Amino acid sequence: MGSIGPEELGELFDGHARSLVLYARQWCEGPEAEDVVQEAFLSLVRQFRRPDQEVAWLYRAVRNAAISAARSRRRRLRRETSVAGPEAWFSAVDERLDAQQATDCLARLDPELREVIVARVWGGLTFEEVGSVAGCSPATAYRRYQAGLTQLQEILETPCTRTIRT
Amino acid sequence: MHTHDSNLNDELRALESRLRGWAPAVAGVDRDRVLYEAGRFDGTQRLGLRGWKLATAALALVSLGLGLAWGVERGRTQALAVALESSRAGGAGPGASPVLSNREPGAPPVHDFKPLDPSSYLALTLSRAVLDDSPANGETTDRRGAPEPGGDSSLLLRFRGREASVLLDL
Repeated sequence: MGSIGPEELGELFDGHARSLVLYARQWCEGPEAEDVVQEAFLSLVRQFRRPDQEVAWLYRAVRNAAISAARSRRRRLRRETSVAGPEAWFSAVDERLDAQQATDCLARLDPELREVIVARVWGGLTFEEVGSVAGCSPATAYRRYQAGLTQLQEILETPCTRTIRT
Repeated sequence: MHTHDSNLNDELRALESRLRGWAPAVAGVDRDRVLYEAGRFDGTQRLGLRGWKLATAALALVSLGLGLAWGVERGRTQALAVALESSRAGGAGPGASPVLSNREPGAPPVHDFKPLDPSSYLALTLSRAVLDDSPANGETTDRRGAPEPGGDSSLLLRFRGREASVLLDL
């Protein structure tokens, strides 16, 4: 099996770039997440042998690069003071929330639950793929998914999360 | 997988479908750059593959040529060996070469001297040896020691001088 072609890469990009950026934002902030995703796509392009599951491969690559970037950022932040505020993870949500509120809700989830939710809901991965990416069994991935949804539902129902940012 | 999905209650399913409607934001990922890199890598890979094919074809041709040359050379060597064998046997056999078979059996071998380059080391060494061994030089016999038993040293010197002059094309 050869490397991935430009047309297939374009389809992958259109279908998964947004959710990959959201996935990377579980560890990275700002443009760092976008850089991580772009590098993951470039790494996929440079693979001489096409991965069996490209989407799961991309999620794994983004996860590893995002965690590594987050470690570097934490080191950098010890020396610098970041004044930039959090940015919205969503461009469109629904009529009950705005993008920033949705971001806040999702950001309040436990990281390991949030990772599974993002990979499953916006990445469309199966629980087997989620488990392989997150380093757990499919059953554990499902349990985390269920717990994450329950936790998110509680967060969404809590009135104090409906903060209005100026 | 369907078993997992069926375990979700209606509320969670509704939340799941609601979440699917949220569109993640993406601003800084450069789609054009990714596609450009993909095309460039694809082109480079194809070029590399073509290079390997050309190199393989060239090596195959060189191997074929070397094999043919070796076969021709081997045939010549074998023919020469047959001719030599037949000439040693004393008669011109059916496989003997025409050049060798034209020579009479009792005739002395023909020396095919080629003139040497006068400036070459061999020519200079020979000319010096001729000069050193010439009859005018009285040290010849002293340096060479006693004449060979039963041999004629002047005849030997004459032969050497003649041979050297042929070699040097004087």
